[in-house]
Amino acid sequence: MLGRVKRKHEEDTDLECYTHQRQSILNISMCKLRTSSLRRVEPCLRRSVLIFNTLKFIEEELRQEGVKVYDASKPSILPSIQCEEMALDPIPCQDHMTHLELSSIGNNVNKTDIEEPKTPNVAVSDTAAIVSTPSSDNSSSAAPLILTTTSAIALSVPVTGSTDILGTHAVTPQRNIASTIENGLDKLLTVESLSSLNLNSLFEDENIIGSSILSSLSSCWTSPSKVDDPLGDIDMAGCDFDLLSPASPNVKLPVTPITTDDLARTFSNMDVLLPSSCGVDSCRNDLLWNDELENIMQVLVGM
Amino acid sequence: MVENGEQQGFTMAHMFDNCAIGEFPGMAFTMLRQANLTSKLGGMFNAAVNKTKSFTNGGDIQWCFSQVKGTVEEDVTEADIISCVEFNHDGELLATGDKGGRVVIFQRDELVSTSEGWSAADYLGKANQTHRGEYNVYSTFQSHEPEFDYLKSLEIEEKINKIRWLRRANPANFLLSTNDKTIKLWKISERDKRPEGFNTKDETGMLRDPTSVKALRVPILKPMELMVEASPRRVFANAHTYHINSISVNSDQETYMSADDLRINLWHLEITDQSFNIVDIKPANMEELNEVITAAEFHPSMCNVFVYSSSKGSIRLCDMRSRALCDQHTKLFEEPEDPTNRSFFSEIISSISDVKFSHSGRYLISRDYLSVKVWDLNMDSKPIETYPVHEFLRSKLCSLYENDCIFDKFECAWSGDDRHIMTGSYNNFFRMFDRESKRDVTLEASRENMKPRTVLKPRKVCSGGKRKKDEISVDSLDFSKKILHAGWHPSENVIAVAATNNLYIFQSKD
Repeated sequence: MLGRVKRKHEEDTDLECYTHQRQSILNISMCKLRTSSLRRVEPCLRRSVLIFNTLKFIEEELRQEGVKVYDASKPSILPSIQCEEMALDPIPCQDHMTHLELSSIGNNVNKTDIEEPKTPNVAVSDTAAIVSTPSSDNSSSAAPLILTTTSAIALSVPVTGSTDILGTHAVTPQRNIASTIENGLDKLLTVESLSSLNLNSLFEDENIIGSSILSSLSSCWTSPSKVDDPLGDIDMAGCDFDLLSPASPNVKLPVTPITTDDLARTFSNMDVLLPSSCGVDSCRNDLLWNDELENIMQVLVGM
Repeated sequence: MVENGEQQGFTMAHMFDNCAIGEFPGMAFTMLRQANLTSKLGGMFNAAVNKTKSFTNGGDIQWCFSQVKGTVEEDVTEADIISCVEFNHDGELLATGDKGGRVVIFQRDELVSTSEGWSAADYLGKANQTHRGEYNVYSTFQSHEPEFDYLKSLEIEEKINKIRWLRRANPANFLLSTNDKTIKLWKISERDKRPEGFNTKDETGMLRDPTSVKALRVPILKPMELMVEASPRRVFANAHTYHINSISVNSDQETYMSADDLRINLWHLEITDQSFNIVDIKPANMEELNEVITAAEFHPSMCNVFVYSSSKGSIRLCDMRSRALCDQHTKLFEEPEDPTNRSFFSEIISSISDVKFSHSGRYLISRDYLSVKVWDLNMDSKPIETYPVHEFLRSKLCSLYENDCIFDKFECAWSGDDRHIMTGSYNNFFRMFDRESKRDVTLEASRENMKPRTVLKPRKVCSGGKRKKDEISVDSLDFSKKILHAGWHPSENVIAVAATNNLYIFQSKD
């Protein structure tokens, strides 16, 4: 009897240990994918593919265990409250995107504050670019998405090539039509279900957990009521993208420190999908942040 | 034939050497007579010598330090890190490439003994002093320069990924060297004479006025200091989108292939502006990409056959006669995964970092992260032999993943007689496997014991349990010192081992 209890206990701790290990591997993988895009030489494809496959393996395992991995078939899987929390999540592997996304969204949320007529347009293309970056990075099958949603604009932004984790060239036959879509973001913000569904189905293909989370994230932002809440108090009026040229590398997006801290706090109780919660502790360092931001800014400004 | 003769003389000399110091002089002489009877020299003779050794010391090669190249200083310059090692076909030349894009070629000194006829008595007397010629720098040149890809805004490193020698067809030597994107064919030629005594030109080389030349004088060749020139003969560029990981010269010596992460191209050595794509595993949709090519090599004698290995642990053998694009393999060498060892890292550690045909062409060796496997071309279901390289790391995979060591690409090499296999490990250790006696040994490339003809001390890593004396615990291994690249002389027991920025040369004691 005692033995059985003991064994049960051991099994429990084993399981705990296992999930802990899996968690740390997940975090390490996210970090690796994030940092590999920062190098000035093309990242090693073999390494990237092996890391991706490891992530896929873990995601598959999570799925089998019944952990809610968000997929296209259940776009409504996120209850609204969870959505709110999700929106605060800085995903380690793509947090440069997250920040920009947040900032650009912030930009749009406070659109009324912005006097210059040009600014919203800039924000539009940025946001679209970032939201769709994972898709244009890795796929040419993003075509349906591109055609149906506003993300086509993304392809007009060179961001696609340079943040490309797999070191591939984005296939961009839609480049020309992209620029014709001007009020893209508005559409993105209003046509909530459409974009979230498409993004989700895309990431479903891709099967990468980080992206799945990103996709669920994006489905959250598209609902204006939720975006208002965490970001309503952030004034993005002063955030002109021209400020963030490579010449001023120390300029940070105002939104960055606020979000990360908030996010880390609000998100710490979400244990299931957290590539982030531990990733934030273990991987983040300010120097890296700066470099990363600088890098992205270069890409954005250089476009 | 001359070469073979030399080799025979050399080997015989060493048998006398054996005879002087060995335990079975009678045996050595028996073997000698046998050897005289046989008309086949070279490899056959080597095999006989190996047999002799198996009577004396169990067939194990007694490895001795021979030479070390490179700086002694502790701090390593990134550009000096050796990134490939390659012997040429007769083993007289040894080329290394480094991260700085340089190629250094070493040439073996001629043996004093081969220059004039030596009697057996001389040999017996000098036995203890004679050892094989040393390798000394023959030529150094900058093969590749750093470049910038303006379309992708990315740097292209100058690091030499691979060097392959062409068989020698004339007094000059040719080699192929490649970085991530561009392959170059280099000619290495000697000049030790210069023509002198022209009367049609003056001292500065200007042509004289023909009317002032009254006689016809034939210029004569005067010896001068030996000059070794390396000149680029062909540049094969713009054919690879991904990083080139392998090049391999075909046995026909007219074509070669180059493999990157997703494609393999076939080139003619004379033609630089076109190549044939013979393998393409790039999926139409890059999202579906889950496998890359990690190495590729031509069969040593069948010019239509080649293999390539993948990051999923499989080796595909292709026959170019079947179709132009060899997307469909002829044979697939793959071992089913052991379910008991399944972990998050199963795929990463099964990724093959190197694949090499045996000299005979009958076998293949493949190196994955923890083991070396020998495959018989006639059996694709599983390897015929599997040798653990550093099994004790299986419990450390998580930290090796974290510090990226798990992605290290260890190479492997066959001995000239296909009996032994060598591959690298961490802490400047490398491993030797004897396929016949099934023995293995761990050796260390270090400056600690540089006395010539002193047998290297085998190293042992403690793999759990109580650590014995002389054992090194897994935790104290230095993972920054890794032996990724090594080469084995094509016919003798001489190996070249690259340890970061140093090149060690070891040879067998006898």
